[in-house]
Amino acid sequence: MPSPVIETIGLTKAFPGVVANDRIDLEIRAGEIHAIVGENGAGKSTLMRILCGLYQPDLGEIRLRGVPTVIRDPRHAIKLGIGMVHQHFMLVDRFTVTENVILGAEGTRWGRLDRRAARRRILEICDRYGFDLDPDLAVEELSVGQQQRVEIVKVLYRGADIIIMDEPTAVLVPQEVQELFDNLRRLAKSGKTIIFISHKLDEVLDIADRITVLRGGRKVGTVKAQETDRRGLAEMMVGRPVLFSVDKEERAPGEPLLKVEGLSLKSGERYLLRDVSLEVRGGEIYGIAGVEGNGQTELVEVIMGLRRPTTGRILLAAQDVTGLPVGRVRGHGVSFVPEDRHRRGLILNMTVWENLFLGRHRARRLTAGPLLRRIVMLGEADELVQEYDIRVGSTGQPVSSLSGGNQQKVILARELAGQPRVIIASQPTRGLDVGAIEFVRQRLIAARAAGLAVLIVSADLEEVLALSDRIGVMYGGRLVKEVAASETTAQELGMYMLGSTTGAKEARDHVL
Amino acid sequence: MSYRRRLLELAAPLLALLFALLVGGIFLLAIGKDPLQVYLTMFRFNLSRLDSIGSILYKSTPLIFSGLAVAVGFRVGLFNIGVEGQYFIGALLASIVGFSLHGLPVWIHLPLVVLAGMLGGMLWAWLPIVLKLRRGAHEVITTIMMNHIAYALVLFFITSVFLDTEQEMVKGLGSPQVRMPKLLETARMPTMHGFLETLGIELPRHVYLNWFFPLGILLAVALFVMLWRAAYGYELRAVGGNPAAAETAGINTQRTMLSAFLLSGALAGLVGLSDLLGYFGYLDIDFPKGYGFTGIAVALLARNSMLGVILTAILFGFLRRGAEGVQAFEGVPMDTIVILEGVIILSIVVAVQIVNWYVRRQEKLMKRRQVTMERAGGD
Amino acid sequence: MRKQRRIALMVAVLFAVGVLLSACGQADQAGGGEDKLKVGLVFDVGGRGDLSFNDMAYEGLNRAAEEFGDRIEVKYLEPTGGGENREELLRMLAEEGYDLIFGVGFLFTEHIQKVAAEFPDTHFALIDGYIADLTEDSNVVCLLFKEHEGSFLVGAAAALATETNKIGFVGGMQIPLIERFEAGYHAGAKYINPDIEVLVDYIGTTSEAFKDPFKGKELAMAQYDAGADIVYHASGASGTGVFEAAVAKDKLAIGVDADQSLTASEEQRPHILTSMLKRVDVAVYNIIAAEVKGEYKGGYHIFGLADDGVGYAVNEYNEAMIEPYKAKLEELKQKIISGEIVVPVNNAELEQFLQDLGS
Repeated sequence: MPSPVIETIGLTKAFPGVVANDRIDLEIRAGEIHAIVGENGAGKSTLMRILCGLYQPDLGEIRLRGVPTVIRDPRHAIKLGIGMVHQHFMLVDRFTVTENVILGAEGTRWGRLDRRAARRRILEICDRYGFDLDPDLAVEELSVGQQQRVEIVKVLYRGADIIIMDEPTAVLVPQEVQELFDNLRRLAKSGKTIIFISHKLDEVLDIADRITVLRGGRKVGTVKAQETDRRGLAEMMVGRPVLFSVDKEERAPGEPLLKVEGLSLKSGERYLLRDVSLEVRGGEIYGIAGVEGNGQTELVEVIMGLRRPTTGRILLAAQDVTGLPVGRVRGHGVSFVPEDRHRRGLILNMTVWENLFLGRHRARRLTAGPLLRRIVMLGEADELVQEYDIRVGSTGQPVSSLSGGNQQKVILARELAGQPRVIIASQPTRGLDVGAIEFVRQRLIAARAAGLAVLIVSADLEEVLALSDRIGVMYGGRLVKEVAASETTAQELGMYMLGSTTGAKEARDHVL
Repeated sequence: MSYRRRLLELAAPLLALLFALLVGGIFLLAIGKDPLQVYLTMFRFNLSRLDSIGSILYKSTPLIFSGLAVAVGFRVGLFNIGVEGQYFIGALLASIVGFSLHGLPVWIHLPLVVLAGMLGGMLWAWLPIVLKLRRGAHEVITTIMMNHIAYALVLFFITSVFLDTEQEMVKGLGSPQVRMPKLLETARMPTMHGFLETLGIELPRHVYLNWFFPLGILLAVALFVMLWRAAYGYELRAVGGNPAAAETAGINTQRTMLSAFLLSGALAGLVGLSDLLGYFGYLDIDFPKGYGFTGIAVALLARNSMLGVILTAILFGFLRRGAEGVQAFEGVPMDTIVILEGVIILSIVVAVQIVNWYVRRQEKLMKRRQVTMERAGGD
Repeated sequence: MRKQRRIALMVAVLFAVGVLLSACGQADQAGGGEDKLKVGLVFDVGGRGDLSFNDMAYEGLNRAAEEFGDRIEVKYLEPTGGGENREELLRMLAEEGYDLIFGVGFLFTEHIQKVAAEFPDTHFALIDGYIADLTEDSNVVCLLFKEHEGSFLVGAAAALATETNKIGFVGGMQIPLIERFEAGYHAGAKYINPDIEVLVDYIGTTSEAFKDPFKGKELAMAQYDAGADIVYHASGASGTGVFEAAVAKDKLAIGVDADQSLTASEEQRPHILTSMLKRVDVAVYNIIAAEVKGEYKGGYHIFGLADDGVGYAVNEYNEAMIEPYKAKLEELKQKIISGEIVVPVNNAELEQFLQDLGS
């Protein structure tokens, strides 16, 4: 059995009021892919920050290849052979791959950048681990998957043999995920150690040799991937059994409540949306899949009245609302859960109760002349907090003091409390942990059951597949495919998402 | 849990002031003055005389309006650096209405003059905000420009259009005042002496404390109610907190910004009126400058709280009155006082930032703790 | 907990400072002078260091302080902002028992009037400002200068010295006071040579115009470039820019208020033909001297050529330059004193003056 390359013994890190890591014993073997999973706030990132030298532990020790070691800072970590690939890439768009790789690790010969030698080494690295990467291309010309490869090469170039990957699949489509996994396996086979942080259980089960689960700052246990499954892992993470399948009752869809006809949006000469038509009926969930940046954001913004379409019409229950301002569109019974809750969903410096009435505050029962009826509002806010299980000490707290899941619940509560007929939800579960995801999904299903038309946009294919009755795939501003959820697979959707309309059918046949 | 945050927030300006006095003290030491002695003189001079107290309130009056104008702007997310120009234009219009409309009773004329001032401020705020909303021109740049235009315009009107040529002069000797005609008596804001006498306070006659001071406090309270109790104030804060989210929620952000900025301008239009209607009685080339800029510091120190502005404006009045005493009795030269005031404002800003940062950090920690507790609850 | 301790510490520090402050409060200031004559002075905007108007007043105050030694005590203050605290500074001096208080500049006109009314036993002196209906028994005296007469002489000097028949004038702020300098200068030049051309520029319309040497230099440069070879400035501290321009263009300039050859730099001196003297120092000194002797009189004190209250400067640096014109200038001076020449005080009178010259 290989000896541990990193060992932590009783590693503890406390912040005032929080023990982020509580006596964590970890043992990671050379050449393995070791996943660390846990909900948000479980202590994953603190642990990683300690390992790459960003934090110093309060107690406990780290043994690197058997030797007790103090990792002083990230520079020191890389010297020790520990490299980190962050979730958000740290690349300079205009620079070439080579320039990005050597940035900060410039090998100089008598003060001159030795770019040629660097390029040679990069090619060697790509060759050895089977990375498909052109060192002379500018980073801005690369796909997200390729950019991630640049980040990995960067770490390898600096001589790392332990690579920490922080949520690496969050930004990738399924095909890219597979490529990444192939790369990682090859790295592991040649002796590199991979520490893989994630909360996506399927992926973890697929890629990892062993999995360590954290919960509330403590280690729950380490298991071999072969010896566990989704349900088991989820239970370890959450501490109780979790329901995965969303039980949707069959429902005959009703009247079309939201109709989009030939919608186009031009910015300069570029089409952000091109001739998009779709229809969402009452009692139906319509999912929009697509790699981010293919027009989904623009589509919902146009529907909501945040942007004016260049051509096309938007009908709400047969009434034309094209070009109306947001307030009027909402007046027709549309609710909206925006994709970026901090940017568009909440006013962070305002209180929880104030956020619960945003946009609904002029309702007659809430006002007395120019003044707001605070007592009524506070009462209703308390009811919503109860109903949506928003964990908050008092509704007078600023909404910024809530966790992400609770913030999303605030938005959901607000948007559903307005008794809409149509609800549009962008990335409704992004960044939430398992418990909150479950809650949000159930609410959306409940909305469907109540006869609402639900339009969801999600980067998470699994979610789109699980929730939707019908799915539309967007690519390059077009709705390139519309299918019934029961008749498609993630693989097929993935092909459409990458813009391949011809290959998709084959892929599907192939997989099936 | 939040009482501590409240406490810290309240302590912030106090700590800032202390820090400022400390830095100022070092500065005073550097020029060879005993800081304790200087501060002591300041406190004694300011607090032991009724006319000093009156003067402090009088000096704080324009700063209340100015602080309110800036704070309202900040609340809606706009940085109104143009209060300076807005109050100059306000004073110009007020002055014109004040000397030109004859034969009106005071209860018509005075309100008209005050309205003219507010209108002037609004007018000068209107262009920058329209430019911002229509063309995306940043209000900081445009309002600074508007300030310069306002100065030049007001001086042009004083020296070239409405110059009072009726002043009694001996031919070819001395200099007449470069000013507009004097305001009519019906346009003057009465001082508070009569009222204070009924309360048994004998304010010396030479103190010009006038009814703009209580008006400022009244306005601050009204704005406070508007901001925290009215639907409009709620929208204003929402737009200021996060315009994208406010817009997404269906609030007309453009209209809110426009109206709030005009409100800020109207408040700015009042800034110069206490001096104009309550003291000078004419607009001349020597009309006090800089209230608009001091107002930024006032609002900042008050953390944009409408009621806080009252206190910080009085604090600035205190410093200014104190500066006179210190110059007269401690021989601290004027340049030093100007520098000292700058140092104090700067230290206050820095200290407030530090304390804010500290408060935010505490908040973050509390949030983290809460998340853990939540999780513990879920177990 | 740690945070609570920190807060406690802060409170403690605050408290300690408070106690310290109040403890020190017990020690009283030593009582002031006994029966010394107390003279106070409040400067105009720009204040000390303008090398002309304000510095002249300071000069007078200083001279008196030296001369009368321990018989008087002097103090000067500068307003911090605009007009809002001139009055308070004056009043503070009055309250402190100052016997004679100066307001330097016409901006004090209104304020001195108010404070003088409140303190009938205190004497006030206002420089450049005019208050109507004063008598000898008033407690205010207005110190007024016939700047146009002095300006007439330096205008004549410029017209005599010019080789290009073009001379310039750079004024500070465009106000009647400065226009009087211009009118006198213009008249003097035309009196010597009716064909002479006078270029006129003003720096600005705000009081900043008196402390903007950059603009002063710019305007003077432009006038030199346009062919002027002598430029007279009446622009306070902005004048240093005019002198710099004269050096740069190797032309001549004329100073104002003080004898500016004396305060100019080594390299500027050869370029200063003369200065129009406005003896604010003499005025200040004289009033203090009168007060010391118990001869203070209210009303108006007018300083013209006759009593050397205005004039042109002759000193060791410009003596050679001015010598050839001295006789002519003295002759003109006598004519003005005798009333043979009536110097115009504004543009309207200047028009008339020039018409009369022509006929």
